[in-house]
Amino acid sequence: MKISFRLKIALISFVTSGALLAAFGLMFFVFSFQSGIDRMDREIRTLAESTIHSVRPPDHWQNFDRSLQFIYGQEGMSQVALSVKSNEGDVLFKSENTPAELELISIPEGERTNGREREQAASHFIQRLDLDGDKLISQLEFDGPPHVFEQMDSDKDQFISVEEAKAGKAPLQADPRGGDEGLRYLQSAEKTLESSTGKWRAGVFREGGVTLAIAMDMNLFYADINTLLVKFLVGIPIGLLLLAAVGWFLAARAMQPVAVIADTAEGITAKGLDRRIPAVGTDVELERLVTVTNKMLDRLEKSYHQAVRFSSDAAHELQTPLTILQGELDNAIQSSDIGSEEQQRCSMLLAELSNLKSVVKKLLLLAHADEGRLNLSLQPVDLSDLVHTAVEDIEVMAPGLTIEQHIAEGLMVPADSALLNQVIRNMTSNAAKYTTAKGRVIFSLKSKENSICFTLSNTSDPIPEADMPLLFKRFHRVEKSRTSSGSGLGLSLAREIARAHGGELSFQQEPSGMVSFVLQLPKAAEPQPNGFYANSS
Amino acid sequence: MNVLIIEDDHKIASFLKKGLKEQGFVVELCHDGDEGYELASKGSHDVILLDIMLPGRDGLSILKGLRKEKNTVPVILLTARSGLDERVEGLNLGADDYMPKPFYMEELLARIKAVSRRSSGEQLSVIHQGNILLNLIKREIKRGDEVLELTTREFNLLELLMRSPGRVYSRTQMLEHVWGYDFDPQTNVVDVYIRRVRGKIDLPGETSLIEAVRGVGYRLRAAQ
Repeated sequence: MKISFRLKIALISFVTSGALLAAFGLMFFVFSFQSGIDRMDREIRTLAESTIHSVRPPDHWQNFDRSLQFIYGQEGMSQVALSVKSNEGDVLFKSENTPAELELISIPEGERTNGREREQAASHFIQRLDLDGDKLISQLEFDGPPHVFEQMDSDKDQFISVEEAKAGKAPLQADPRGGDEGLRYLQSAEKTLESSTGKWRAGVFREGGVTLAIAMDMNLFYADINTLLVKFLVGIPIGLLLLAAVGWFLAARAMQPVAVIADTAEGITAKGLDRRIPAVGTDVELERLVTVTNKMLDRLEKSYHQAVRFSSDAAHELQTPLTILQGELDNAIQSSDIGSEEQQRCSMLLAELSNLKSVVKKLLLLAHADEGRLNLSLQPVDLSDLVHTAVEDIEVMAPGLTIEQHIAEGLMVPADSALLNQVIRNMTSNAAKYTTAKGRVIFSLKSKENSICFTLSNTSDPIPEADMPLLFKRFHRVEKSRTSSGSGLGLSLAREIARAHGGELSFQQEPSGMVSFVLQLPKAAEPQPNGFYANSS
Repeated sequence: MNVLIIEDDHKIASFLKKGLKEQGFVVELCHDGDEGYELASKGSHDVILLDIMLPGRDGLSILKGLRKEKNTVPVILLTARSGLDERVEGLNLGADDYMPKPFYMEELLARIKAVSRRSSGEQLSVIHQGNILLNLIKREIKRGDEVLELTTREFNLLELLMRSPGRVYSRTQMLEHVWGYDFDPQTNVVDVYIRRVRGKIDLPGETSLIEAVRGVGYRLRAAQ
């Protein structure tokens, strides 16, 4: 499949940048979401810590609303819900908007026995309370409620060892004075809740004797995320469209010099070989292409002109000796005795000379055609008349053939009479030469809408498919032998002449065993690339 | 008739001189453009044969100079290039005819006669030979008062022979003149046509007007 290079470049840049944009968008979205959740979790933790660690008067929890109001303002208050329970299950505090589902979050066992943290907490616990330095905490040294001591003293020896503290059947108590140096062991679990009042981000913390559950309303967060999503969904397609437009435009810009090069190359014909590709843009690669192409054109032009000059000069140089030779032979024929051997020999030489002249003339005409200056001296030519004469000729040249003619009368074409004559002669002598013995020849001359069509068909041995394109090649003959006369230039020249007239000479093989040469000539003259018209007044 | 040949190729020039002298022309020869122009402008020639490519002044410029001086001497251009532009330019500059090389002496002679006749106002429209009369304008042929029907090829063949009675034409020459230079017949078309023409113009029992030249071709029997 052929796709324009421009389209390909534009597509590639569009797809690549589109994919990148989409990937970045997605990453950014996920990251924003995650960081939003993290931020909420951090806020919840901060709230929990600051609440849990403050010195607590009995109505401590009731002050929560006030501190919220301080942090979030009047409106933001409703965004946060708090519920506090004692380990025994008594509800110490519960704000009005607490979602019911908050109760359901439990702190998984695993988190409770978080190894290293607990080990640190245990050694802190011992260090802080061990007054006599025996690494054991006695009932006297312990500052918590007696039931907790009993809980922690699992071997009932009235001392709490580090191992016992670590094993932690009972929670380690927070440092009632607060502060970083104290025992801090916050057990927590965070989760997103779906409730009738929307989504909540909730954290449950346990420390000492209380379980603290804080939930933050996610509606605002989701609103933010949705805004972001909408922005992406609108922004990314617009960005992609822009990218496509820019890609298309840039591809056109990049291809522009190539178009210039192609246009120039197209304009370089036999007549305009001196044209060169102008310097396009400042791109190094293209500059090199232009330079190299122009150099190639220089060489091409040079060798082309050399070749043309050679055939033209050669033909020209041959004319003088041919004139003299022909003149001398003619003189010899005229001056020698009638019927003498000398006269006959000269006549034979003259016949050979005639062949030579014919080849030289054809080569010269072909050289002119190649050069794009096959001169045509146009005048109205009676093609019907020419075809009638051709019929007359073939009857004499190849007696015994069945000849059919369908010739429309009085068809005139603007043509160079001598050259057109040559085309018809060539077609006729071809037919005479290659028609099978006692075969059939059909002359047909018809007027079509814009052209006149002369078809000469004859019965023939089938021409191999492979040979057909070679028919119009120079010095080619079908039978590949040089026994029959003719230079093999005739058809090639005939086609050039037809084309110079704006027509065409083509070959057709029909299944009925007939082959046809079709000459098509326009009814009105139009200038052609391989010939030009001169006024023949 | 006085002919000036301006041609730089010595061989062609001497060949022309020889051929023309045989026909009884007085020939003056010149190989150089400048000298040729001086000779030509003296105005003592009936016809000038002028080569286009010459050392010194080239043929076209000589022609231009002559016509500028109101010298109307008939000029036939000779050139090896059969380029139409050159031909058109030559004719536009006032040349009377144009002769591409290679040419037959016979053809050149015919053109010299034609241009000199044209310049003297004489018109050649009929050729007489024996009792045969050829009207070149009407393209009509009569034997006595009887009008004969000849095809184009037959007429052209007879015309060629009748223009130069006694001259021997080889078959090749006849083919070139009547059928075109690259005509490539498989059989001897010329003989067939000669037979046809003879059958039309000759009276039974009489010696044919067209005489065969063995191994060469034909010629028209010159009238006694």
